[in-house]
Parts: sequence; C-alpha cells; structure tokens
Amino acid sequence: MSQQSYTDEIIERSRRDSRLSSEFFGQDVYEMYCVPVEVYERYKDQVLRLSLSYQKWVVAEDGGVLLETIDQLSDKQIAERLGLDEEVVRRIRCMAEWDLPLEMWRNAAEFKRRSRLEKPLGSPRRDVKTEPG
Amino acid sequence: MSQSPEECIKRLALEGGASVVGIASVSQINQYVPPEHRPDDILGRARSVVVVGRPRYTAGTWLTAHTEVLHRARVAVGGRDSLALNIARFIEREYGYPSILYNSQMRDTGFNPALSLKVCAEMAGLGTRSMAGGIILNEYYGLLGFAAAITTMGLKADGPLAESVCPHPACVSLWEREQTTPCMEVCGAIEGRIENGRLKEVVYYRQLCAIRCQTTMNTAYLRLLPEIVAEEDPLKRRYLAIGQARMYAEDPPGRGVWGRCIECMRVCPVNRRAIKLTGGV
Repeated sequence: MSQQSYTDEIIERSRRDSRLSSEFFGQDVYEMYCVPVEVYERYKDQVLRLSLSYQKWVVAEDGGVLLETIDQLSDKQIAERLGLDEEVVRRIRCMAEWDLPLEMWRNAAEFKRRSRLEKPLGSPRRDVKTEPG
Repeated sequence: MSQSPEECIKRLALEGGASVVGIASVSQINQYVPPEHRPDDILGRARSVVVVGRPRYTAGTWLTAHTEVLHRARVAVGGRDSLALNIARFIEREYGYPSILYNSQMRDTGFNPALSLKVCAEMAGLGTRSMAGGIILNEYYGLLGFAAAITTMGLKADGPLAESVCPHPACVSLWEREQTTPCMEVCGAIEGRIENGRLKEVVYYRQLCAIRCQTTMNTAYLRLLPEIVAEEDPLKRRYLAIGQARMYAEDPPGRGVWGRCIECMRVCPVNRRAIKLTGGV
C-alpha cells in the first residue's frame, strides 16, 4: 500500500477546499494567471480604453456639479461590451496595466526632478503669505 | 437637547482630528458606481458611508526643500484610517449596526479599487471633481486623503455640493487666454475643456499618472524584474539589479510629495490657498 507523502496530502486538501474541477489542477502557472498572448494582443487596447486606465467625464445634461462618466467600466461591464468572459478581461487588464516600457519610469522621475528644479517650493526665498491665492 | 446620531458621529470625527466629515447614502453612490464595486458589495445591506478627510501634508511639507525629509513626511494616513475605524466601532457600540473601515489601500485587482473613495467623498459633500485627473478638491483644504466607515445604519446624507470647487477663477482666466490650465500645462496625464467658467470635459490618463506616482515604490522594482531576468549577460544582469535603476525603484511605498508625484496639486490655485490655510501661514 503506497503511503501518500505529507506534501501530496496538503496539495490534495488544498484542491478539495478550492472546489475547482480537476481540469484546473496541475496547471501551468502562466495558464493560471494570464491569457494566451494572441488574445492579450487582440484585446489589450480595447480593455484599457474601456477601463479606469482611461477616465473621461463630460458635463451632465442638467449642467449640474456632478459630471457624467464616460465608460470607466468594471471588468464585468467590459466583458459584456466585448463579448468576453469576465475573468479573461480581468487577466488582460492586470497584464496590460504594467505592460509599458521601463523608459516611462525614467521619464517620470525626470519629469518630477525637472519640475522641482523649475518650481522649487522649498526655495528659502519663497514667501507664501505674499503669493496670490 | 440630545444630539442626533449624525451630529454625534461628526463630532467624534472632528474631535478625533478629521478636517472634514460627511455622510453619503449608499443608494446615491450606487447610481454612479458599477455593480460589484458598491458599498453594499463590501458590507451587505449597507445604507450609509461616513467619509473623513485630512490634508495629506502639512503646509511645511509642501514648502521644505529637503527631499529626504519630504519623502518621509507623509502624514495623517494612518490617522485618517484610525478615525474611520473609530467611527465604525462607535456606530456598532452606540447604535448596534454592523460597520466596516474602508481605506484607499483596499484594492480589487490590478489598479482598480474595490470602491471609489472619490465618489463617496463627492456624495458626502466633501468636494467636487477637478480638472486634475478627477481628484476631489475641497474648497478649504484642496487635496485631501479620505477614509470611510461603511455602515448598515441609515443616516441622513449630506449629498453632493451645490457648487463646483474647480475651476478656480484664475484657471478660468488662463483658459480663456490660452486654452490651458495650470494642472494641464504641467502634466500630460490631464486634458480637458472649460466652457462658461465650468468644467465641460475632463480626461485623465491614469497609467501615465500611476507611473509618476510609482517611481520610488517597490512596485516599480517589480516592473524592472522582467528586464533583469531577460538580460543574458551575468554582469549586466547584476548591475541592472543593483545599479542606477534602483534609484527610481527601491524605496518603500507611501513616500512623500516627490516620491509620489503631486505636480498637478503643486500648481493648483485651490490647493495653494489650502496650503496657507492648513498651516496658518
């Protein structure tokens, strides 16, 4: 009689508690968290444009204080719009939010550094009391 | 004469150090946020959201030239969370309604929040949307950090403000002359239009803003990891990991004004007035 190892035992307990069907067990890590690259490339821009990554408001018809939101959809709403599964949209969004060239981080740091040098809030000569408010 | 629950809750918040406090109704919030991102998705049968706000920085924090001090001078974050937690506990203890703290760290997946604190603050009358990426600007305190107590207790809501805080008259004047505003001029993540002295359209590129906020956070180092792993030359890989790139990516989250980009607020006339008021300078 083969005796189950301790590791196998806790893996089995984890699978049982997850209530997932057996097709999800022993999956490749990429498959667990990401969508196929071709699916990602096809929908990435649409998902970003419809999500909170791109936010747009316009004045409401009543002209009131509260602006009207354009898109800024949840994953479920994007899924309905694009005819995709909600989990597929969520994975695409999470892959895409970070998928920008590292150069942008360097550019961001330079943007802040130059802004600080040009408009040094901490200048000893600055007198807030006399500045226009 | 005994005070109403709303008065007691607001007094607790203000005595505890909140600069502003307001109450929003869940039914009104739900008109502006999608299903699964609503207060009653977080706490079943929630009816009210009490929102507290405090300035993220003291006036001196905005004025110091010492960037290392500035990086670590982020104040009132833990404080406002404690305030909201105290309110949740107070409502449970005094009135017997289940309540829960909600703060800006409570994410859903990726960059998405579980619930928009901006919408809650707006519906609680603590400010209005601004051209600067939809930040909620308060007339007196400018940029505020918010936290909330979501409760199943039905409270009288304050509702949104009647007048917009943004645009400031100085921005309207600049727009009429040059079709720009100070925040738009300084940051490419912001676009918009003003018409008849009011916001007509606001556009915010969150990904661009997020990167500027995350050049000195551990999360930025995570973005560097694929490049490190993909580098085939062991020496290049080593120096990619420990060299100049770390300068932008190594520091812990929650750093100050320079670490977390706040350039749009540095040039905002509403916030400049707030800096003076906050610090009494």
